[in-house]
Amino acid sequence: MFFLSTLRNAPVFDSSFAVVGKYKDIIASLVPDQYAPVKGLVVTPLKGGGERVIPWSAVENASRVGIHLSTLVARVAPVQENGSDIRLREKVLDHQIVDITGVRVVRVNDLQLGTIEGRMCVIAIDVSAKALLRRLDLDRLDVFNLIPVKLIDWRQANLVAGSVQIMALSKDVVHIHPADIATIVEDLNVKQGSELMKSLDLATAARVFEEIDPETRRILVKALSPDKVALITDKMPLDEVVDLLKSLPAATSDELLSYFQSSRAASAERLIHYSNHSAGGLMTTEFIKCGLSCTVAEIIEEIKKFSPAFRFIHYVYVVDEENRFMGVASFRRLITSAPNQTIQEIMRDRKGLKILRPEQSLREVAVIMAKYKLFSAAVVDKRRQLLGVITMDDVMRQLVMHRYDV
Amino acid sequence: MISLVKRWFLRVSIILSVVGPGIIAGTADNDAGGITTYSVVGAHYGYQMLWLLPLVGLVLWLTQDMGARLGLVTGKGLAALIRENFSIRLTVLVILLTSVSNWLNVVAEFAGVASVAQLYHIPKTLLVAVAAFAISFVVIKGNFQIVQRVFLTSSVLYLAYLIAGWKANPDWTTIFHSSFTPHFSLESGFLFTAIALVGTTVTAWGQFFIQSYYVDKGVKDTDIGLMRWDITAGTLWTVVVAFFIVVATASTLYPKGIQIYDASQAAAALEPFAGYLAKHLFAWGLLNASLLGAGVVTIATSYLITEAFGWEGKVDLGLRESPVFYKLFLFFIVSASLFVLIPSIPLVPTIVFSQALNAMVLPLLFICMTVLLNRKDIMGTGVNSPMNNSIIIIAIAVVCVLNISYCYSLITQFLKLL
Repeated sequence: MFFLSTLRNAPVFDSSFAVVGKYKDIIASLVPDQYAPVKGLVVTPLKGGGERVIPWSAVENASRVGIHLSTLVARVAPVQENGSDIRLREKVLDHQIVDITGVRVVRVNDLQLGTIEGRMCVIAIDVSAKALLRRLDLDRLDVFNLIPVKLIDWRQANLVAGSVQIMALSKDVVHIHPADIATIVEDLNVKQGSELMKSLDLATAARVFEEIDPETRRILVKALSPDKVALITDKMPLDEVVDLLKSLPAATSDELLSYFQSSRAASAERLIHYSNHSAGGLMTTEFIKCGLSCTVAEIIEEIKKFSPAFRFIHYVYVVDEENRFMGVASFRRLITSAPNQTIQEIMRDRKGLKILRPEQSLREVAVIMAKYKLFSAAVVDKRRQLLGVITMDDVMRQLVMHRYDV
Repeated sequence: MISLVKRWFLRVSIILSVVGPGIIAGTADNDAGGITTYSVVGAHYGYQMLWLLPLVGLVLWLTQDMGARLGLVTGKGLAALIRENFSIRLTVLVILLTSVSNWLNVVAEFAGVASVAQLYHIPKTLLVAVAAFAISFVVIKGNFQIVQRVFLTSSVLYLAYLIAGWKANPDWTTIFHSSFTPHFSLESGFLFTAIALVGTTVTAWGQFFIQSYYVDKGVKDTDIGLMRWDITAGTLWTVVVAFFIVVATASTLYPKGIQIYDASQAAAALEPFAGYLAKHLFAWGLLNASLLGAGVVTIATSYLITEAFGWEGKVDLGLRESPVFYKLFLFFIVSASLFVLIPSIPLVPTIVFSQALNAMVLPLLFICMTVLLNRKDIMGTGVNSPMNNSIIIIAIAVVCVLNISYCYSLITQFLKLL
């Protein structure tokens, strides 16, 4: 095993022990989920300039002192580079990679190469300060070995230099949590971040978009085209979309609204007027609602039909003909009741429930929900109209932002 | 009617989404060191150096435009580009020199704050501490937009110098005349000051700052026209402010032969000639410039270090998201403000040393940038035109020659002292 940086300026000898040139670069092939096998050695010839690519099979050994070839240089057939090949020193060393397990974007300070199953491969990426010292020939300064070498397994790393690599990255990140993908998008620069957002499928993109911090999100909206943003936001819960719209400049938000379906745009515009820290700003208008006379079987059918469109369904909200709030039925109640019962028979009446007003502050909402141990609560105005529903996760997020400033 | 208003709003919001970096970077170049230099230029040489200001502005515009284009096309900061395309040794050298020079620059900003405190007979420890706290508070607690708004407001406050210049009742015909007649002298003091003029305006940190700022704002390649307006406005404002500072001291202190060494002395010396308003405007302008400078230079430095060594983070993220950035930021602010408070610390050599270092990094930086701007694999169709290249090469050559003579005169002065 050796570090790529140790080869710097190493002379290349052929089997006659004559110096044929100087080490310039190493070419490796990118294979998904495997250590990248080394394909060739790029040599700057002693005379005549240009470069020569020698297959790695012709390399006997490589170290700081020199690289030895097993044959005469004249006998070596040059290798062709193709699309899946990458030059390690030119394109990987000092560039950024995404560390999938560590969920972060880091710079490659050095690369570790070694033999795996008889083939020379790129094994790991060194991201430590030690690697920097090594490259500056200052590693002797660390006499007591205080600086640890920090290696990232090559298979866990993704290059982000080109759009091909971003595509590969988007395939690798789908297995991790959207909040973690969001961290990666935040760490990448705007170009790469928006590229990654574009190559994710819409549902994942929407989840990720919700988790990105508002500042980066604002910049991303600008970098992505408005129709793309509209497609992504279409998969987001309405209250999240409204939060996003609020954080945008008026013109951008109007433009985005024009891409929405008219009903969604109308509800969004209604919600926009509530302050972020009031019950009105916290609530969502996307919940399952039914009339008093519905039967349990009908509602369960309804839930089956609309389930994909909702993030949570814990309660069904019951209203009368004039959209006045009458009560709620929990999921458990629905399942344990007979299918032919009407909702009016099984619901908990509004009189026994805590309801919220749209103008109540975040603090009040949190206190009420904590005191009465509510997972979600209905927001109702003075005329008893059901406006929306607040769920614990929205309150939680706002509280955390307030309390811990993240 | 409504659609007209709406369209106007749309326009304004598009402009605002691009504008900012150029204006802030430009005005921040007129920091404590810059104002001192301009005050000295006016007091010691009168209107003789006015003709240099448009040239300084031109160099500033050219270099900022280069940085901004690099940022727009690559989507990366200058530190990242240098790290990715040049050797690690060069990267470390550039980062090290720039960081040390910037640290000394921040010291100079706090020295500006301290001198304002002395002018108003406030304990300097108090004002420096308040300033350090205020800057840290805005940058750490505020988000990107708040920081930008504070900086832009600060840029507008430079208006104080225009009023102060006006209050000094300058002789406009002479000013007009000397603005267009080159005056040159080989006397070392003259050369020294002329170089300082370029050195305080075109800075290494400014190059890093403007490029990262455009990148982080998410400005697209298509916005290049607006971006140029931003840079042009910033450069013009910088030159106009500098012009009025020179005019203020040149029309009052120069005829009386009053020698000054820093900007707060200039403020005090202005009072008998231009009235107490001019004095206060000068003093408050200096405080404002020091605060803006300290904020911008520390942000730029923490940013370029994290970018080069791979602990990326954006200005807008919270303390926990990019701890290294904020640790560096606080280190710079705290250490520089403490350094200023050490009694009997020789401040003038510190500032001079900072500028000399800056002058050494600049040619290196410009060469790197020119190389990058000429690489097709990086810039695509946006590579530098031959015309642009020749102008830049001339600018680099001029800056290099000025720097070398500056360092030479520094050394000879130092030897004389021995």
